[in-house]
Amino acid sequence: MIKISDLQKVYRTEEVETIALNKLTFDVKEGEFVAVMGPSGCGKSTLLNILGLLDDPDGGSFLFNGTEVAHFNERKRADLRKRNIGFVFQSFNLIDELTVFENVELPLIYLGVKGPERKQRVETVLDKMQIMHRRNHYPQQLSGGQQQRVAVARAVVNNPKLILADEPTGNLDSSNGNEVMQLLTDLNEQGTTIIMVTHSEHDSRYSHRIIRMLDGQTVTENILV
Amino acid sequence: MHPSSFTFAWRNIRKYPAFSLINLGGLAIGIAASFVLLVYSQREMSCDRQFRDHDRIARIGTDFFNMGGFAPSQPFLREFLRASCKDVQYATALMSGDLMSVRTQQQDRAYTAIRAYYIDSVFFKVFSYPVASGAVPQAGLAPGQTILMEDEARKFFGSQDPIGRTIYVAKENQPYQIVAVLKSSFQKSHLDPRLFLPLPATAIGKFDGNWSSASLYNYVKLTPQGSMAGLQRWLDRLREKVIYPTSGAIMSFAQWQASPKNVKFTIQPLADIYFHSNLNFELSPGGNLTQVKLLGAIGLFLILLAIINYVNLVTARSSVRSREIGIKKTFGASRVRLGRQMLLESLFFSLLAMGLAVVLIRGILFAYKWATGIPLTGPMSLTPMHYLWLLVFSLVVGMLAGVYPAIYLTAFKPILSIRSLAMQSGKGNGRVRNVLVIFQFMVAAGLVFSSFVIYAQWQFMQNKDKGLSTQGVLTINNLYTMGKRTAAFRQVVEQQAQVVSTSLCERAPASNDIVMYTYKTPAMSRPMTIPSFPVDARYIQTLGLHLTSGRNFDKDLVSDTNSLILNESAVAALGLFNPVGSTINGSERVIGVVKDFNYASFRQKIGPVVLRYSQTGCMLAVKISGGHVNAFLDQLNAKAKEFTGGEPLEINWLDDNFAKLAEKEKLLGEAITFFTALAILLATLGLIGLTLFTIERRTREIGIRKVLGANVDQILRLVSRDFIRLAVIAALVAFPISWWLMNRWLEDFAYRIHVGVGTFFLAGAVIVMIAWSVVSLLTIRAAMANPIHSLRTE
Repeated sequence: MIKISDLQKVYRTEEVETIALNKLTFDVKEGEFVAVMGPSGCGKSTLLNILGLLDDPDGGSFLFNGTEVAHFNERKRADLRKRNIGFVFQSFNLIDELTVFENVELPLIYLGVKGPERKQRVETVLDKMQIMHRRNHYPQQLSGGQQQRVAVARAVVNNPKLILADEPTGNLDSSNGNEVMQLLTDLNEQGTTIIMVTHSEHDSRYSHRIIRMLDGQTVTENILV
Repeated sequence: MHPSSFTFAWRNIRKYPAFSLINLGGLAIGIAASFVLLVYSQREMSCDRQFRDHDRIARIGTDFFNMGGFAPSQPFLREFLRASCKDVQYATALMSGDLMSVRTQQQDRAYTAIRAYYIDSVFFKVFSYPVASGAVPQAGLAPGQTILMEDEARKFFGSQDPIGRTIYVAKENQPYQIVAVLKSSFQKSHLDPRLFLPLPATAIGKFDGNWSSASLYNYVKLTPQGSMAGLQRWLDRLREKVIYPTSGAIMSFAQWQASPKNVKFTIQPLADIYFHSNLNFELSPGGNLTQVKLLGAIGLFLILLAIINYVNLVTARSSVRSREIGIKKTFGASRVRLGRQMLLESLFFSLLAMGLAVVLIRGILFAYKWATGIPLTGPMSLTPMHYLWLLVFSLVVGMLAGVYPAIYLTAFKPILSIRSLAMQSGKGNGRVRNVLVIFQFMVAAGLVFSSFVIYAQWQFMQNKDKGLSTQGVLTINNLYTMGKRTAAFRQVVEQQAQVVSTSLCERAPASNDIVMYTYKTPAMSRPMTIPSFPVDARYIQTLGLHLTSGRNFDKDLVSDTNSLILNESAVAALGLFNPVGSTINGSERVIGVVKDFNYASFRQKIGPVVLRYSQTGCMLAVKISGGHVNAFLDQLNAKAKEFTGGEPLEINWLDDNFAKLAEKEKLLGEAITFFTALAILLATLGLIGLTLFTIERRTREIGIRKVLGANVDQILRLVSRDFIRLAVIAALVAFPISWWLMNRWLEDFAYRIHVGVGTFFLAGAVIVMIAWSVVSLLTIRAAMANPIHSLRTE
């Protein structure tokens, strides 16, 4: 599903040139659950941004479902993104001014899904995440675990082929964290490809494969399954 | 259902009430004030343009003896125009009556001080007044018929139908039957009709060859093919073929044209009269184009200030918004879509502001009238059409205010927006915001400076040495009601303890009267027309004129009937080196010289004036001393009744006459001060918003600094420094521009103030003080708070 080769990303300021990704190469197959690990500053987040089509690489190739997307313009990237990718963040990134229902509904609106169908799909996913009873609450009225469940719901509501999770349990206690990991595992079992950046060895054990990164390069790949 | 941009905006308002209130309030004030000024300017600029074919209508004024031009012209001009001017379709003559009383029942209480227009049969063919009820007779008003304006009809008859009713006009209770009522209009006109009466045939009279008279206002409507140039050629021919021959002069036409006996005409296109005509005996005081332009510009500035406030406050919060936008982008929202959301939000905002503005407009109009005593847009209320404009105006404002935020806020790359939020409130954005803040302060500083200058000039005009003493001087103008008993009345007046001196005269300074004579010294080849004051021997004393050489008139010297006293300018104009004792016009002798005194205008230099000895006069000037003026006037009026046959005395105070001369400047000063205050309010609101935002953003920084030992004073300086620097830059940019503009305005005045360094400092200090106090007041709480709290909440 994803095939990146010699991927490069360099951040330049006036004085310093930082190589965030240094000729990074790996594949992710459809249906895989991959964890990306590594110390701070090793390029995990940069990688995730590029995989999520939020940023473009400075060099190398990025095939998404066989299409070269490395040099897509923003409009094309956005289009591909909203149809295929869901995001889960460490800090949830829910919109404070919107209710739970409205937050989850957002991706469907941008996909142009009609009102009644939207309502039904949002309700289904909220039900699945067991937060239906909170549908009219605002994010700040929820606990961290509940907020992340909403965020996951938002990530999956448009049935993405790929979910990118950026330390999804980073702001959660262990029981809430496990719950979220279980959700991701369930989604994976239903066929969704998941790439997750994490610091937690515990979380990484939910995945099939761990990619360890250092200084913008893959160091090792452990296959768990 | 997903919330629309409107509900989203509404929730935003509720979540940040202080910000939103400032933003909404600023936008509402801006919309209301600039809309008021828009309506005002539009009304002023379109004065008289509501008449059908206004570009084919003109007034013909005249001038003779170089008296300075008259708005009315010769009564029989109309007949000449009708008989032979091919360019003219209709010629109408209008007479403006004296103020008089109107009764609805013969024995009823009278409505007083109403001025009638006496019109001929084609008046309404020239001026298209819409009819409210009844019908304007095709053949013109028959004797005994009248037409009223709507306002008057309502005043006289309330809600009853006035058509067919009778009103009784003037002292004689002359009955007139109402045949039509005309619609009062929001539009402005230099004509200010209350009631129309038929023009009596005697007003036109028989052609007597006397072209030195101006009693009727002559208006023409050109034929569709006609032109003003054609009319001008016809008037030129009239002068050469008709007027010049009847003058009986032995000079050539060319000589006649250069002589004071020459009769001239001015064609004034209807739409030009209001702003550009400044002739004697205008039907109504003209407009002040400077004021309209200035207020129009202020209106533009006010709405710009409000839009800038909106843009600043919205983009200042970009770090908050960028998160929302980043998330939306991540989940697939396109930039166009987000931009549209921003625009819809600002439209929603401007509509809310418009709601507030509707109320504020009333408030502003009321406050303006309260502060200046004069309504800004006339007595009429705003029409439904105006509210439609207001809607369009508000939407345009909303669009303009939304464009920059829509472009700026949606440009964030989502990746940047979601991560490291605080870091990137954008240097570029900060710079734009600084420029906008500077612009706001520039407008405020420029306006403060300008209003200081205008106010100072007005003060200067008020306090300038006029060359005479106006204090406690009044004139009694209706001596004609006393006939031969004037002298006896004067004796009674002089017996009053408070009366210092009285003078019988034909003319008072700063009044509407015109008296002109021609003067010629032996050395001059051609006589010169000079404004003259026929006065008695007590005039100089009563008005406090300063005799600089020679002597006053002496009523016991028979020879003084041929004596003149000149002012200094007249001495210069006539080229006299030893004025006292010189002879003018062959037999008139100069016996004294007075210091120049102001008598006509503050704008122009004091011109030559000649005092002529006269033992009769149409008015009595009275100088009184001491207080209790009202009691004195009551007493005087009581005593006067037996002389005037019951009519009250018509009294003018000289002080009031002079105040009227400076009225335009006073109004201009008040108008600009009023709207300057609004501009400052707007700029202050914007500053409050930005300061609140800065404090919010820097709370943590302030806390850390305090922990490290900063005191309140240092914190205040930290926050206010940036804003004060902006205010100073703004003042430095604004002052040269407004200084230049104000100097151009001052150039119109012969006697004007010099704009000194003090004015700059004062205006600068006002602006910096405002900025400093706003910022300090808001910061002080944050600066005094215990840092533990701000650090803990992070």
